[in-house]
Amino acid sequence: MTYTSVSFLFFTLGCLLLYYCTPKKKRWGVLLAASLGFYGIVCYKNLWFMAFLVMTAATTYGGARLLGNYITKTDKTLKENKKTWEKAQKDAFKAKTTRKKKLICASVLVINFGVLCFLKYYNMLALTFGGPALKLFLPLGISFYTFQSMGYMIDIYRKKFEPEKNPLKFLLFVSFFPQIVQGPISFYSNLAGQLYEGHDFDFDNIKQGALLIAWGFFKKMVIADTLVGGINLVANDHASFSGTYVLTAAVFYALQLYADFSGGVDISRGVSQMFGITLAENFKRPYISRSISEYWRRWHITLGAWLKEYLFYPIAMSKTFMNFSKWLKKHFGMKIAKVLPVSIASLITFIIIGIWHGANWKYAAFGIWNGGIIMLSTLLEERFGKWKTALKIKDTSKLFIAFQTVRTFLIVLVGYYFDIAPDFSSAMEMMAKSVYDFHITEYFSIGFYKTLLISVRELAMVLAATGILARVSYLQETSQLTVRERVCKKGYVFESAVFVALVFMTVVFGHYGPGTNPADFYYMQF
Amino acid sequence: MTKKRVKKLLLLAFVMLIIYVFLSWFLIRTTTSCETHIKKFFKEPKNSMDVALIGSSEMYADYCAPLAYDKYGYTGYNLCYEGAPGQLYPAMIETYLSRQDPQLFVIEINGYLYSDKDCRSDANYRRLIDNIPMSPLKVELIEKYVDDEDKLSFYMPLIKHHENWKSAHYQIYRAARLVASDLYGTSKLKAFGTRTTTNSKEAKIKKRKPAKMSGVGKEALEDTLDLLKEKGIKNVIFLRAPHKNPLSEETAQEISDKVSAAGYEFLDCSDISETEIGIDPETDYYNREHLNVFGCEKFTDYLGGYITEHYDIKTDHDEKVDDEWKESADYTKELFVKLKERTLQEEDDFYYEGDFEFYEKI
Repeated sequence: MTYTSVSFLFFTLGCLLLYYCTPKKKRWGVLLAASLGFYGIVCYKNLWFMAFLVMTAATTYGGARLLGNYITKTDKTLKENKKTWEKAQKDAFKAKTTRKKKLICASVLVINFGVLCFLKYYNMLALTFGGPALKLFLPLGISFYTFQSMGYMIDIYRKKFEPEKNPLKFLLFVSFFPQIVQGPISFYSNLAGQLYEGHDFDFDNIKQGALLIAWGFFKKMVIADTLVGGINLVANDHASFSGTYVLTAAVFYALQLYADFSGGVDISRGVSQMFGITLAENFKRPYISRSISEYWRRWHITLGAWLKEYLFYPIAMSKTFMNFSKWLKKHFGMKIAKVLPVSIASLITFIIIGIWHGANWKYAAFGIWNGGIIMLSTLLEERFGKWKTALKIKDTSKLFIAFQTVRTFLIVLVGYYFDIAPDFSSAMEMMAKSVYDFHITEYFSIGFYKTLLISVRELAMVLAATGILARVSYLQETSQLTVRERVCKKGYVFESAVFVALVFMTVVFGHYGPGTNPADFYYMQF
Repeated sequence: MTKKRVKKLLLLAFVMLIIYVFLSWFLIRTTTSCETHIKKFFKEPKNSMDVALIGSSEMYADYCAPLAYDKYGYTGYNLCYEGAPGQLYPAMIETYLSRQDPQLFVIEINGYLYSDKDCRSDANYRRLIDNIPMSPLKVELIEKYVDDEDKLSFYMPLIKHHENWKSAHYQIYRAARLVASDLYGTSKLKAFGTRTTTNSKEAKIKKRKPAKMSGVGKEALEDTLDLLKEKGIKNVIFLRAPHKNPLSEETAQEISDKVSAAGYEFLDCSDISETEIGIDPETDYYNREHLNVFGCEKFTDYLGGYITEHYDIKTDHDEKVDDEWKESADYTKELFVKLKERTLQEEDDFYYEGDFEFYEKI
């Protein structure tokens, strides 16, 4: 049962009926049963995957409760002795408690990230350093639920909120079915309350959720899945294809990846909305970004937010980096001291983003590429500003905006070569080929598209669908309201027409059915 | 939810259902001949057939039911389509029995001779089942003959056929043809198709190995016999229509033994095609496996004579049924005159049942 299957739609419908027929206080129980049921059905051939999910929930719940109790106890002791203890005594107590708090928190993080890293990276390291390879499987959604749970654990450590007392409610936070496969990664403070609160039936939520689901299906099945065959063909055997094919496959990949991932998240968000739950947005029109930093604020937003909160800031604000900044200030001046540590922290974050994407050094290169560009642009920002002034370029100039957008897209595209190539050296070869072996005339041959496993009619259809996607993106970018809110405001006939059109465009033009090879959601593998 | 909202939702569901039904009808594509042969079978009046004819392409190319009616007076629709695999013969028999109560079954055995791969081809299943209207019979056939993982796409054929949007121009032509065909009512030719050539050159060049039964074919024959016994059917002829590549002796013997053991008859016409039937391999075939109109006329005459001679077929029909069959026979006789001319001219064009109605080819 995948998110784009008919069975998932029926499953969701059944859960909705059950949810709204259950007394409000117990509705979270329906969500928990649905989530565990969904995970069990999806992993029915590997039910032991469930053990990893429960293990993460149990260790995090236990660790958080232990930590929470310890914090309460030590805070109480501090409060009771506030007037009687000397400063030195207080400091010693704080240092001691901080050590213990860190120990509890770190233990949970090490256990969970340890399991994730072992399953994900052991074979890559074994291959690199000559160790024995193991037959390891990555349980479905492990990255997403581990990140989400560890965020919760760190928040408990930071005393942002009290730990959840009910283990089953916490299990629901970890396993909520619309988001377990590929996110979005939610913060406990944003999601938990919504999950535990029994939502009233709101027909607007059902309508808007249905529209968002239909939109997600459209993006995934009409655009992404139609393109995936040609991309895989070229990526798996790039030596047999000219640079024109390689470049086209990379451009297709940019479109396919966005349609696939954002389509999947739209389905997750749409299903959640039907239960009255608002999941965080994960994409905000990333390909109109004017810089690579902006791109990362628009692409996989929840992962970015997670890493910023729990990785980037802790690194940038760490003692080592503060001392480094002071040293830079003394030797190179204020500007460098301000920019360089932040850039290095950013580079480290991006390398980790890269490695999170896969157990292959090419992903580290992907991280270095993105982080490196951001680092360079931060360091050279002032210089670029001067050039712009000298050349009298205004930031608001349409031509300049277009230039920045295309430039950013090309930088992103280079990063995608690391994604689609089987390894680092292949990625480099593919990039080189895209330049020196590119022949525009190949685009005029029908055989070119046939080789890419897409007929001219399918290509025309994908282009038309992409046009719709672009138009919807534009509407979203220029309005405070969501597109579905705007659609629903126009009344029954219009909203129904949009829904019917989306459904039947997907039914007719979608890439699915016997004889086709529908692709899994790309981010499922992470 | 208010009543008004429920009404609106129901209206939306109804509109979506209408669109779905339309798209399912519009986008399905099997082949012209099987679409017409099978759809038209369901237009025939219930219990109006004296003889049931079942098989693959041999049946509609080699045998012409209106001509047999004209000479021998029995009615018998050809429930057949190209590539019909033997393991679907039981389904075809059940389909026949769902509307008719024939006194005799004639089953052409070519479906048992396809390779295992051909027999399992998804397309062969779809040609039959996708053209049967939604009914308890269709549900029964899907549940019985289709793999679990494919069942949904048989119940909701758009899952399979939606990709035909890529050839929308053909689908429009097909839709027009189907509408025209529906307007005609019952089939005029009772499932007939041919090709206007004598294939005289190919006959001299190629010589294929004698036909043998595949593994799936053997199982299918057993299943057919089991079903016939289960349904209590007494009169059955297992027929091998004339072919340029005869059955191997072992295969012919194997089929004969199995069929005889079940109390039925095996009639191998390949060996007697030149002698008793009078088929000339130089002029009466359109390819190695199918007769042209000249051969068809001779074989229909032979088979009709054989059936009436060996089986006591009662031919009492409603006046309406007889009128309709007479009309068919007259139309067919006229058509054969033209088709013969074109065959002699080596026109080498295909003519299928659906085309006769929609295309003014003739």
